[in-house]
Amino acid sequence: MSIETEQQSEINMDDLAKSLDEIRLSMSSAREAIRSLQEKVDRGELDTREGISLLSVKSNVMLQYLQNLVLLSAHRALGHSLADRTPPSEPFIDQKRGARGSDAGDRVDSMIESRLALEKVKLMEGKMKYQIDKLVRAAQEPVKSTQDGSIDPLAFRPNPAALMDQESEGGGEGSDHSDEGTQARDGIYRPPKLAPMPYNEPTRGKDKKRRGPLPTALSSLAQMDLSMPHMESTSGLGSTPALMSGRAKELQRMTEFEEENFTRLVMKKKDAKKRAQDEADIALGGIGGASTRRGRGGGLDDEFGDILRSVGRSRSGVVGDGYEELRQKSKKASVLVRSRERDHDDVPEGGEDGPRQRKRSRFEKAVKSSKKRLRK
Amino acid sequence: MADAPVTIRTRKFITNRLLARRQFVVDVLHPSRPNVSKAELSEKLAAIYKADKARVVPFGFKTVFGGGRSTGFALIYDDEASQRKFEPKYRLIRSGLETAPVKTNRKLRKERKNRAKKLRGTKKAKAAEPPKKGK
Repeated sequence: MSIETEQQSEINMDDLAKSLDEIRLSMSSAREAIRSLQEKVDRGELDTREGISLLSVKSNVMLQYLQNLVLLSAHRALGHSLADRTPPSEPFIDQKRGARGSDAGDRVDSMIESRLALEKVKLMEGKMKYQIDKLVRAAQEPVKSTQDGSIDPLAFRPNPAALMDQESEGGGEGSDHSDEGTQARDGIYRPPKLAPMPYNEPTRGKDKKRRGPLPTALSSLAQMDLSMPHMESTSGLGSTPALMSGRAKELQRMTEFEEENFTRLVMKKKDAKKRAQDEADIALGGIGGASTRRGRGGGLDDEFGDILRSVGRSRSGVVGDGYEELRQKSKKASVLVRSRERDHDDVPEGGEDGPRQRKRSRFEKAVKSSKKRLRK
Repeated sequence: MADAPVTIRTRKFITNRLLARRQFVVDVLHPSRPNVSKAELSEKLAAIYKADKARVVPFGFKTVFGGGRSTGFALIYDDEASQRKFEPKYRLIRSGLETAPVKTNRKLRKERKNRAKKLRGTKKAKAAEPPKKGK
């Protein structure tokens, strides 16, 4: 047993000696190379104005970090404390700053520096990600013979000629063949590049806004036959009132039929009511839409709206005999109702077309007039 | 108010030989009056057309919105025989040439019918009286 271990250790020793010699030789040759490069840099032969490119900085800084780590672990194995450091005298910003020493603390400082540099490089790489990816893709794809130099895959500007080229090839951006050919190796799903469009909610039936009433000129034009001789006056209104709506025409036809045939049309009560309402509306200048409207239509409302609103109309309608109605009218309304009707002094009535229903208007007028008389 | 003036205009005058009458559309202008009664109208029309006021039949009058004007129809028959022959029954009753049928109690008739539905044959005559209470 001991002989085998001795042999193994001999073998190990031989290997160790060989590897140590190799290391020594390679280190001397590396030293020679570095010395020659350093001389070149000192003489100014190498162009160092632009510094190192970003991509090589990353690998170099990483290497530096690993070297420092190895040396730090060697220091710690020997037992040196981390507090020993020999920093150079110049501040960090100064470009002529000398190199750090080779103590454990200096190694830690260098590692920190490398770490920071790596993080910054990562951020910068993220900003340039598109261009780097494009370069990588161009390198990976087989070289396409470009007939004209316009479609250069390395060009970073958008190229409208490329769109035409794609269309002529018969494949759009969403086609499967071209995408599969180029991107199948990635295994990453790339959604099709579509232009963003605004989302318009579909209009629902009940939310449809009602259009305004058709102007008189247009509606009369629709019904008049301008090739026939028609009368016009200086005021522009004409002698015969033009029938504005279809309902007006319908009603006129009804009356003509009745007069022609010496009968009155037999209608249901509802229809008769609607007809009377529409005739009233049209007589006052409305369009007579009793079927679509609740309550009074345009004509009656336009003419008498403010009057009808100012008169007190109770919701319950006729209450017994007239005395009952009077008694109910004389009662005070609730506090809420009175507060709504009280603000005639404070709030200016800008938005209303007339006086609102007020409880004590006549009394107030009487009070005012009596005060005036007293002052005189 | 009989003092307010009333203007009567007639339109679409037709002499209907087949029905032995003259028929036309009547426009009555009555400002400051609610409307004109049919009796008064028949008098005025008889005066205008020199006919008997019993032969004049006005009907179908409607006042336009806003008041002051009514439009309706009127017929003037040549004689009473043709009026009885051609006029509908309700207008004859209106003008007094016929009497209205007796108004039966509709509810009673329907109840009698419903009672009779439950019986058969000659017993239906018994169903004329309502069942005595308590029996």
